[in-house]
Amino acid sequence: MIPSVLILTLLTVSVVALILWVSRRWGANDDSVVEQIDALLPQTQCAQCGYPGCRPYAEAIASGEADINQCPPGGQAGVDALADLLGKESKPLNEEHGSHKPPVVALIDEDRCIGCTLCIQACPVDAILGAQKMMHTVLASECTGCELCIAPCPVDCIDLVPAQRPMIHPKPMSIDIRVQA
Amino acid sequence: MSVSVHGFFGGMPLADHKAMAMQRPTQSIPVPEALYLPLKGHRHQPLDLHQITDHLAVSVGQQLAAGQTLTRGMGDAHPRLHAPVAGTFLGIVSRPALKDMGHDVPCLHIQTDRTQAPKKLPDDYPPNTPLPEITPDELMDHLQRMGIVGLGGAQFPTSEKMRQASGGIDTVILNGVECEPYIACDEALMRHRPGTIVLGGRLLAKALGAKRLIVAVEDPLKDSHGSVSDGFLACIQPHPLDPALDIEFIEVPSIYPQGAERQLIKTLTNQEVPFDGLPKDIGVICLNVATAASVADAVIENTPLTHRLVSITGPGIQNPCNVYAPIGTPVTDLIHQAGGFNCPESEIDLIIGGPVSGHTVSDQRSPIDKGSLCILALTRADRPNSVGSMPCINCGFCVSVCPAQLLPQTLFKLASQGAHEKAHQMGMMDCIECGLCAEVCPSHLPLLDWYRHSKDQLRALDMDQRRQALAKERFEARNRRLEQRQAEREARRQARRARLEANSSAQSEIEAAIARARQKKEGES
Repeated sequence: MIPSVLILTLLTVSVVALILWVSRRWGANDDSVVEQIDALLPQTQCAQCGYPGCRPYAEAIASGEADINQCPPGGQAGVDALADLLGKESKPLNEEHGSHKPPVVALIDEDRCIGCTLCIQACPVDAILGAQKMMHTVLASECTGCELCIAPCPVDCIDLVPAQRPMIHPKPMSIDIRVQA
Repeated sequence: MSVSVHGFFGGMPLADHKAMAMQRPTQSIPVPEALYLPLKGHRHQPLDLHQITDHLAVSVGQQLAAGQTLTRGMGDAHPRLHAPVAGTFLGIVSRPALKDMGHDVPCLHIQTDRTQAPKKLPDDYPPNTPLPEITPDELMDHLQRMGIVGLGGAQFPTSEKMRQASGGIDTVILNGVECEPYIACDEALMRHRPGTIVLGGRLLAKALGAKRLIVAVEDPLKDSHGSVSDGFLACIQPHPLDPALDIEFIEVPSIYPQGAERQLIKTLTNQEVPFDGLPKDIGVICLNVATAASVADAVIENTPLTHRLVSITGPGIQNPCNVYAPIGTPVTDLIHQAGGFNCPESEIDLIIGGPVSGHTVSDQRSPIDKGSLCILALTRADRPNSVGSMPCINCGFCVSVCPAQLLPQTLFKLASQGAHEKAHQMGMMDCIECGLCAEVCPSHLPLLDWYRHSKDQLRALDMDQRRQALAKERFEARNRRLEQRQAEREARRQARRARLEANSSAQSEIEAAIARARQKKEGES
């Protein structure tokens, strides 16, 4: 009896050790979870969630510090995707952090710009070009529409305009024939 | 010459109605009052006004000569435009887009000089015209300057297509197969200018180092004037000028969509283009016959691409015909040239392109572009599919005709539920938008419209993802830069502090300075 107990114990211990080693070696670590969450976030870097960018918010979600419904640019679809990834129940978007809006880009009214560079320092993705006492301009293709440049501007010369969207072929109108019984 | 012709999967013979537009001689349209040259090479790349004004080669109010360059260096997606006729440049205006219903497109507005005579379809070149001396690079640069694009509809710049394909091209195919019913602009060109087409093909083949040039047409292209092949055979038989080039003329069976690039290549070479590749991957380049003719004109006569043949046809048109029209002509002028509609306009479905894969024209003020083949006016009676649709019954007719070997009914279900990414996995982007599935559908489902919608959604999604990746990259780069700057500043501060603490002479200097100042103060008081 003793040898069989010994063999079984040995087997159990070695299998557990193997599983532990494999999970350490190849298993999901914190970083890869953060990566996956970050991939679902819209990368607007708008800080509306309360964290200074998408990556910090992803880290906060991964550590359980932040909830999944704090990202207005991602909208309800983003919340659902996060819930799906993390195996949680989806919930409505938290309106405290802002509401979901169609995509916009910043546009500087170049006649009113005084060249103070405050917006350049605020831009999280370096999408504003300019220098001291020189007119500034927004690179529309790089702008994420985060609105962070609006508040620092002392002369209110930055507007948000709808982002240029590619044309989408309209959904066919359904003119279904209903067969009368 | 006997040539073996293979087939492609799916497809279906359709009744052709080419004779309708061919019954009258090709006409030139009187110079329209105004031309609107659409500034959109590719519909998925919206242009902004800054981009356009940076690349205008003319100023508002400037007098234009016929053939003058209007835009330059807009990149490959936006080939150069030239003034089709003499006139005055009036600026950039928005006009309704021809294909995207409800959308506008920025256009170059030209007020024409109406005293000039309209340009006629140029005469054919004699069969044995010698090839001019031009190196491949010179030819590609010249075609780019002349604004030559693919005239089969896609409007891809020919110079760019050649650059991508150069080296490794064995066969040049000139595509004269317009398999869609009613469209006859290429047939008109092939009857009038076979020598020009072959000459353009020889120029392209020489520049690409190809050994084989194939001119492909449909087999039933015969009418009272004889087969279209007579003209070609006269140009092809004696070719002592290019002994190295093997020119073939092949008639292919008229099975829709035989004129689609991948299907034609399969039929002619029995090789399939990889689904994620291009014809160049199997050593083939395929160009429309009209593109070849415009290449010949650009090289020999130095004429830019400013006019094209358009079929104005359909049961709703009074005098269907082929018109040689300047690019930028509004659709309404073209219809007027063909005698207008023969029934009330409310009965008409106006279509750009063919009846199977065309787009509805919602506004007749829309100008034609370099890829407009045909303005088709169908009457309500010709469009059974407009009556309404019933649920999909899984009959599988669409699967058996789909030339891209997809599962149209599955794609339809996914697209109509908004599951575009799943549709992508099922090969949505490989759909060639031939429209056969919708044509055979017994439930009259608007399948093609669903696929176009879904493909546009997928393209938009792809664009969003690219933007996201870019934003992430820039955000991370900025954070790295800020951290580095912070670290540098911290290091400098540390160094200064360390220097002050370590350097006793500095300390004593400061103390001496303080003592001096105190003495001075005391002396004053």
